[in-house]
Amino acid sequence: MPSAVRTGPRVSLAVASLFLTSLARADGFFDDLPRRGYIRDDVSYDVVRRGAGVDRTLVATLRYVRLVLDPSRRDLAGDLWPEREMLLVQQASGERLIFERINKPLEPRHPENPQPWSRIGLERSAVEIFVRGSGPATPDLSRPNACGGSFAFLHAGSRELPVAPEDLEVPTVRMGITQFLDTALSPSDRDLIERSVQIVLRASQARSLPAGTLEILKTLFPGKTFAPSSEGLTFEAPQGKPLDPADGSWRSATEAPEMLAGIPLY
Amino acid sequence: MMTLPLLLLLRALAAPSAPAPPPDVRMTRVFVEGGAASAFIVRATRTSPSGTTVVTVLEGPKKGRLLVRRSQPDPSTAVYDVRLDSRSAFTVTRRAGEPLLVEAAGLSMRLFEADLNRRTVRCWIGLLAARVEPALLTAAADIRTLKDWAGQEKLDESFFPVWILGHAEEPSTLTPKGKLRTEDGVFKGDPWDGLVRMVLDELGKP
Repeated sequence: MPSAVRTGPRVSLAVASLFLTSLARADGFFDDLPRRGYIRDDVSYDVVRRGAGVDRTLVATLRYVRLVLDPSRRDLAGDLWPEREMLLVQQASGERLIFERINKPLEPRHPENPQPWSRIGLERSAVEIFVRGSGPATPDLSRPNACGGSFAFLHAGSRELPVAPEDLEVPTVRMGITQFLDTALSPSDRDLIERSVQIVLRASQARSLPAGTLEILKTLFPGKTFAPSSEGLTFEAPQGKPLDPADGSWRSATEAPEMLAGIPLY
Repeated sequence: MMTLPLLLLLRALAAPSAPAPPPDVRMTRVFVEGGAASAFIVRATRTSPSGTTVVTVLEGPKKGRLLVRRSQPDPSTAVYDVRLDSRSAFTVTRRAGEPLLVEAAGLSMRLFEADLNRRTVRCWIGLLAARVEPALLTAAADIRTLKDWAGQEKLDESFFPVWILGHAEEPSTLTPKGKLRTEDGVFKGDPWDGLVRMVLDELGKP
C-alpha cells in the first residue's frame, strides 16, 4: 500500500465501512423470541399541544405495551418467562418508530451467542443491540480472541460493532459508535429519534409512562443528554384506536407478536 | 527578463545533484544456541531530506515473510505498514496531534493511543487485522515472543504496527526453549539474497 498521507474524506468513507459485514449476525432480533405474549401493561396517550389561543393540536400518539412471552415450555416458572417491552411512537406527521427491550431472555442455544436486548425500529432502518454475558468463557471462533467475554453488539443492516459495556466513556469507542450510527441512520432518522425521545421523557414525567426502553440510548449515544420536551404538552386518553404493532403500516418497523389478554393456563 | 522560479529551475537542472547515499543494509541471523537458524532478518534504512525510511523483512522457520516499513512523508507524519508475504498491508498512520489512523483491506478506524488497552479497542484491532489476514495476528504474537525470548525490553519503533496488533492478544505459536542468540553479518545465498532484494525494492517505493 503506498504510504501516502490520507485525506479526510477518504478516511471518513473507509471508516463508514469498517464495521464488518462478514461478521454480521445471521439471526434476526426476533428469531429466537416466542411469538406469543400476554399483556401485562398497556397504556396509550394522545400527545396534545394546548395553550392560550391554541386549539387542541395532536403532536403524537404513544402506546406502551409490556408482554410476558410464552416460551411454550411448562418447565419454566412464569416469573422467568421473557418479557418484551414495546413503546410505539407515531408523530402527527405519520412518522413511526418503536423502542423495544427484551427482559429475562431465554438461555441462548449456544452460550457464545449474543441475545437480543434492545432496538430502535424505524420504517426504513433499525439499530439493534445484542448482548453476550460474561458467563463461562467459550471459544467464539467467528471473532478474534480479544472479542471474547461480555460484549454488546450494535447491529444495523449488515454491519456489526462490538462494544464492551465498560468502555462507553472511552473516546475511541465513542468515536466508533458515532461513525457507526452515522452510517446506520439518516439525519431525518436521528431527528425523529430525538423528537420522540423528548416526548417520551415528558410523558414519563407527567404520566409515569415507563421509559425503560430508552435505556438503549446510553449505549447508542454515550454521553449525550436527552431533555424532556419543553413544549406545553398534555397527555390524554386516545381519541382513536390504540397503535397496533400488527397493523400493516407498522410491519416495517417491528415484528408484531400475538398479544393476548389474561394470564396463561398451566 | 528571466523570472526567479525559472532561474532556480535552470540552476537545479545544471547543478550536478549529489548521488543519494546507498541504503544501510543489515542482516541478522537468529538461532537457538546449538541449533539451526530460527529466523533471518534484513533491515534497510534510507535517509532523505523528508525523513528516514526503514524496511525490515523477517523470515521465520515456516518460510513466511513478515515485512515492516516505516516512512515519513512529512516531518509530522509517520506511516507504518506491516504485511505478511505479499498480502495487503495493515497500515498505521501517526500524525502529530491526531488519533492514529489504522487501515487494512480498504477499511479503517481512528483510535487514541491511550485507549489501546480497552477491550473494545483490542477487539476492533483484531477484527480489522483479521480482515486482512488472520495469520497477521499470530505473526505479531510470534514477534513479541521472539523479542521477549531474546531478552529485549521493547521492539524497535518501526515495529509500531506489530505492537498495535499485539493488543488483539492472539496466542503465539512459538514456545521459547533454549537460549536465543543473534548474529549480525554479511550473509549470502538463500534466503538472504531474496530478502535483501525484497527490502531494497520496498525501500525504492514512494
